[in-house]
Amino acid sequence: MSDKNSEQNQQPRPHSQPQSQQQSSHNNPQRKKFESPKREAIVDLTKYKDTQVRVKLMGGRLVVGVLKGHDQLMNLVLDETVEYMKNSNDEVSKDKTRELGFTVIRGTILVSISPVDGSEVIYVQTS
Amino acid sequence: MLPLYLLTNAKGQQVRIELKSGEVIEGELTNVDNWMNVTLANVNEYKSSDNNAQMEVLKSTEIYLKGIYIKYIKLQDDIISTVKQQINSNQNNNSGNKYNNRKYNNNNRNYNNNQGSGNRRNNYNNRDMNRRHNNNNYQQQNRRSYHHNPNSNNNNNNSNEYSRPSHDGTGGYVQHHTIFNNDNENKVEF
Repeated sequence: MSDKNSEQNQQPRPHSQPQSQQQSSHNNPQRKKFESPKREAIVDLTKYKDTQVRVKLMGGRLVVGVLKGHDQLMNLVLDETVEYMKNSNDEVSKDKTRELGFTVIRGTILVSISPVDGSEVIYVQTS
Repeated sequence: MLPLYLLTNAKGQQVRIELKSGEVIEGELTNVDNWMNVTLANVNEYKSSDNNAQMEVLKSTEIYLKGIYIKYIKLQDDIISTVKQQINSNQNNNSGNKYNNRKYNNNNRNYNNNQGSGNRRNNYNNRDMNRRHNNNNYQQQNRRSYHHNPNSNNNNNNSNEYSRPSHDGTGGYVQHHTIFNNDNENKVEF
């Protein structure tokens, strides 16, 4: 009996109409035209995961650490974080540092983020 | 010529950005978003433009900058004419399409049920299908009534959805996604 029931249940369903095929082809944007600004994230931080990143924060602080995690608001989780602070000349220098360790960086105060890999400091003679 | 549109169409060009802190960042513009957050490639960072005998420059492959922290962006001098040319040629090729792009922009916000398929083109199609569903059956989803009412009105008057421009909310570049009419195109300025 149960078999019969199940067979009856497997009646052919009424055909759902393939809506997509009824679409008229009006206004098909074949070509990519004038681009509008993006709404979604423009940088993919997953590619920096477990690598060193240099993060600039509002107020002139610089933080370097290993990126462990991030979210859409660009809150960051950094490990082995080192903070470079301003010295008396109001410059961020290598000598005034603080070991922060494992930190969460708030996304709202982030100014810039760049990978440490492939970066170098050069000195340019201007005069 | 809206600033963000200019920027988005200046991708791939060399730009020079000064931050509020006075730092200068030069590089190739790779991406811009609605908040003017930018990504640059092959970047040079200077402390500031003051004239020391020796300048410390930090080179890096890529950088992401918060738009809120940008003081100004210096573009190439010929950028306006280039972009205008681009627009004009595009208009000749395929009129009314920049309109669509705007609609997509609205779409991404209004239709959360599209599950963010990264492809705008897909969004567009999905949205169209959804609308047809709604109009064919009954008006569901009161939450979106603001955006759907123009559609349904359209539908009642004549089933041709893209026949009538709706003039509400046309203050800026934010347009209703119901607009398919190219008549308005001349009013759009970049």
